[in-house]
Amino acid sequence: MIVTLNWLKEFVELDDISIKEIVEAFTFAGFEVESVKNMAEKFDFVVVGQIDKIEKHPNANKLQVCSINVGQKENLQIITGATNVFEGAYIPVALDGADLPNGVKIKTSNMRGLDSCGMLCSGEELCIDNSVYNGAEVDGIMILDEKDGKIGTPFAQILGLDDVILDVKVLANRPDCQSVVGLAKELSVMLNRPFKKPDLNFGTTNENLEFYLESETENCPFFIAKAIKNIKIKESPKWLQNRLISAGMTPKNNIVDITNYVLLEMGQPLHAYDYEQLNGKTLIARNAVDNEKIQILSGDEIELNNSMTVIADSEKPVGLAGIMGGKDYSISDNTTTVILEAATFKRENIRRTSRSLGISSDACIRYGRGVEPISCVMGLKRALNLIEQMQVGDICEKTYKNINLKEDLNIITFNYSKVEKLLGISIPLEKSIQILNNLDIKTKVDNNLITCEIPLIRSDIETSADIIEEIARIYGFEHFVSTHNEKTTPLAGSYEKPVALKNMLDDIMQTTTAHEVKTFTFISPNNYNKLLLKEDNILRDAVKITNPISYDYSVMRTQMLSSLLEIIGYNQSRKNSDYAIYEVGKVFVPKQNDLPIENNVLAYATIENNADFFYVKSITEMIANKLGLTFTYQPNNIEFYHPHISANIVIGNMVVGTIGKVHPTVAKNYEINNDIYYFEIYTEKLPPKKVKKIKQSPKYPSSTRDLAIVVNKDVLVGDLMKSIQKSAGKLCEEIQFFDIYTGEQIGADEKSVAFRLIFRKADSTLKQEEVNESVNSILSDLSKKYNAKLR
Amino acid sequence: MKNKIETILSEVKQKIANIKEKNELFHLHTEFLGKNGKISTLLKDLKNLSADERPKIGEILNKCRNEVENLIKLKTEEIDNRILQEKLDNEKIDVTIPVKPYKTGTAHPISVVQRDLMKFFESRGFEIKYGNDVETDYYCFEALNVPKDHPARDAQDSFYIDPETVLRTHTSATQIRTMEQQKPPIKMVSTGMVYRIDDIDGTHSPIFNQLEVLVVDENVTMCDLKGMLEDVLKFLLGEHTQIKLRPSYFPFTEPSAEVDVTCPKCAGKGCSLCKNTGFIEMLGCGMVHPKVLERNGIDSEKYSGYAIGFGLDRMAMGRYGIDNIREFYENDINMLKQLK
Repeated sequence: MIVTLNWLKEFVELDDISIKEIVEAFTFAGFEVESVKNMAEKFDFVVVGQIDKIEKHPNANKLQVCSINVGQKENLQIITGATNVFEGAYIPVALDGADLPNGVKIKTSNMRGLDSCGMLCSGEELCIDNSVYNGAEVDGIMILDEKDGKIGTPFAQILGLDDVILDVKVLANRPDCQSVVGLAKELSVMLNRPFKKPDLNFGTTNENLEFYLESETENCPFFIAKAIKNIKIKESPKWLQNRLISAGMTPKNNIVDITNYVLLEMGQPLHAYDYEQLNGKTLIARNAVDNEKIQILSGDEIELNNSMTVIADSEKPVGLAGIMGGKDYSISDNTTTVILEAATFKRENIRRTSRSLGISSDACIRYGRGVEPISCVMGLKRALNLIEQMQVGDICEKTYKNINLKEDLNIITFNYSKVEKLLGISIPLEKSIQILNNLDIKTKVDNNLITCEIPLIRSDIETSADIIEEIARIYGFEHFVSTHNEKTTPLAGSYEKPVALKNMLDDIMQTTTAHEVKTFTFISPNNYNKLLLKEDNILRDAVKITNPISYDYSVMRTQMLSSLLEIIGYNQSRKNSDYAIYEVGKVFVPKQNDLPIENNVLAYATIENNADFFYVKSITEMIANKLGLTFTYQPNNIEFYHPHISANIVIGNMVVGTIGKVHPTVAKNYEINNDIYYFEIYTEKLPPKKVKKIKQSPKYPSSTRDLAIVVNKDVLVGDLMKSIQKSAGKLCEEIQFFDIYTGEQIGADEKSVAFRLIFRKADSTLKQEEVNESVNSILSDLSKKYNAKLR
Repeated sequence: MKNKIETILSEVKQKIANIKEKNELFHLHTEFLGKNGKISTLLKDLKNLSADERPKIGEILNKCRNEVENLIKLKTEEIDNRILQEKLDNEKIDVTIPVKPYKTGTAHPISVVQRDLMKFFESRGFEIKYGNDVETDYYCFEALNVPKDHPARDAQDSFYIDPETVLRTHTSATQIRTMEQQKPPIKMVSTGMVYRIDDIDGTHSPIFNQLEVLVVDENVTMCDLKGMLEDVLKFLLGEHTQIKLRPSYFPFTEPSAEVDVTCPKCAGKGCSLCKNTGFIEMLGCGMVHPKVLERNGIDSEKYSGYAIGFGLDRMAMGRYGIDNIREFYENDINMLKQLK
């Protein structure tokens, strides 16, 4: 919300107060000031002067020496080359120290032997044209009208620019402060100064017009209008135009400018219609008919639908309610009679329409936040007051209205002890009463009970909590002292399971070389094809966003791999190499008629130079160890992995993750040239961490046997180990795999796998026969199951 | 015999003085103390002496043997020390040669800030939760005093899955679920990703991370809130940190406040970051709106509470001097590996 200092001053006395103090008062009332712009700044050290005397420069033909009265004790000597100056002329004088808008810095200087203590300025040097000051574009020095300002007056004041523009952030709960009066009111309360109410008085003629007004829709519960006759459309006075310009609006004509002025000052959107153009001399607020069209002020033709609200005459829409007027009905130079209308609309209806059409306006922003009926009445009155003041036309007596709501005053009664109970500080009752009364909240006190009557404009105050907030806000948050929950119940802190699990996995993963990444949980459906997922893969079944920012971010991810591959692709484009990354992130599984299931997945990918499948497997094994779990690995067949270098990670019969080399085509789809090894672990499926008992150090020596076994190439080492484990019995303490051999010494379709078996008894020294027995049983089982031979 | 002994001793002393290597010492040992060594031979000859002389000479000879053994031992140590010293001298390295540091993983900057806050609040008796990213409209808005027509919904334009399901715009939804399930006293923290429709630029991201704190109990006041803010912000930003509260608006708290803290860049002296105010905006907070309590079956006459919301991305940007939020989600390895 843009407000200017001079405008605020119409409602609060601010002459003796600095901008800094005003900004602070706003800030600590809850209205952040986002910027402060001093309009006069660029004309600092430029004042109105009068030429007393002109003489020829003794040393230069083309220069004249002027004696200038700038309201100081002595006249200034200024030398000029301009020829349009004359004795007695009022001119803008840039004094020593001025920094002109065109970038020229003014200093006393010597010109051909004489001092020149400043400069007489042209419009061009001041960067202004005829639209800012009539005559500014003259060839030579600007000649000012002596009525515009006395000698010594700051030049900015002549232009009506001696103002400070504040951009104030108004919070969503205070639509009443989307106006100069609303903010002035806040300022008056913060500074504890009287508030001067805006002038709402006007007189009417007893003439009336044939005119009919009605609201046919619940979206417009309050609809009023006045007619103004004998209008002379012309330019608004300068002061009003300047106010609009400061607020970033373009002055048009007196009627339109008044509606805009009231919009800014009172926060009330008004709309003026050319009476002659209205078919049936009627204004109706109604729902639009599907496919109905309107050409709005901006020139665009818009197709409407039944959810939108319009203001219409007897034939067609004349305005998009609360957003923008129709083009054919706007005020023109020939307009003589005007219908000035004010209304309230349901804020969600205006917001929805604005959003679906992509059209916004100052009015629309205010309606979107909510406009109170009382504001319609006051806004309309203020506009009529200005129409009268500026003698724009004659106001007809009759008020046309259609009101479908009852507005009750909100009365709130509460025990004053609540204030201290909630805030923790005691505020004297008298102080609170004073604050509330300054906010126009009427109060009655009965013992400890305080009864408040809330002004209609403050619809944000609904409960006693809101009143306590008002008291605290104005009293000042700086009065709160810090206490440290001394009175609350002590509780033990804890982490919910997924949080604890992520923290633990973070700790584990950061002992590897992997860097944690954070990636977006919504992704592009293009990833399905990039990952080579089959058409019926359930990973394609994702939660979809109905209003994504783009297709690239339109579905919730069902897997983590694409997220990590995108990061690797990005890093590849930046020539980063030889690293590993991981993330514990969410994937989303759709569920019929319920919220999706959200699973946390640990995903890891490496393109380190030394990486291979077994390197990555050593990391999953480390994780299993840290969590006290045992993982087994079963070859799998997942599209995005290398068909022969991938496995399911299994506990018992449950798949808790997958691991493998990313399919080279998938890597290529993400513009990655390197081999990528990847694993993911579904953290929800991990059983709780078990504390393993520590084994006692063995008392008796172990006995070691190495076995090299020849089997068919396709037999899995894991299966051999499982068989050995089963056959070996209790005596076998450990089975270590240590070598695999293929080559000339054995058959072409055979491989030799070497194991080291460690045997031990807990309670006595092993006998060789016992070990032999165990080894024999191992070998005979291997031979039966896998046709294995001892090498 | 006595003379012989003395001659042997001086011979040993003389020889040992010139010995440099261990094998020479070995020869010396053999020559004098070996089976047929000079001293061993004398010892054998003792039996030829008179019973009178034998103990006397025997004593001298033993002394002599001990002395020789001792001399050899000392010489051995001397040589060992010399050899060790030579070995150590040969192992001399240049300790100033730079190395690549031992590689370990790193945590993401946002996780670091998140974990710090989690630890603080866990130690203060809070239960830490993630909650759902996909939430119903009810938990995300309605229950937080943000009805469908509320303008506050505009400020948090949401991603919808269907008309009743949204990607949460704040982690507060998890607080509602907690209040629904749990009676006061409640101390909980909800944290995780949140989603708002925003184009991606230097300071905006459609996904970012929050951590919200909720306390509901008897006798909780705004002064308690201020005390907690002071504690946590000093823990996070240093003991010198000052805080300032100013009024604000959130639909689910009343009163609501923005909290400004001592500017971390200039320590309050005034700089470009804080626009010379010495303070920067850090977070939002407030006393839980009685309507929110009541809606969740908590008697607002008996109980009160406060809520604090941290924007983790912004805090991480401040802590690590990152001025573009995009860097967090681009995950450039060069940025990530700088964190330890």
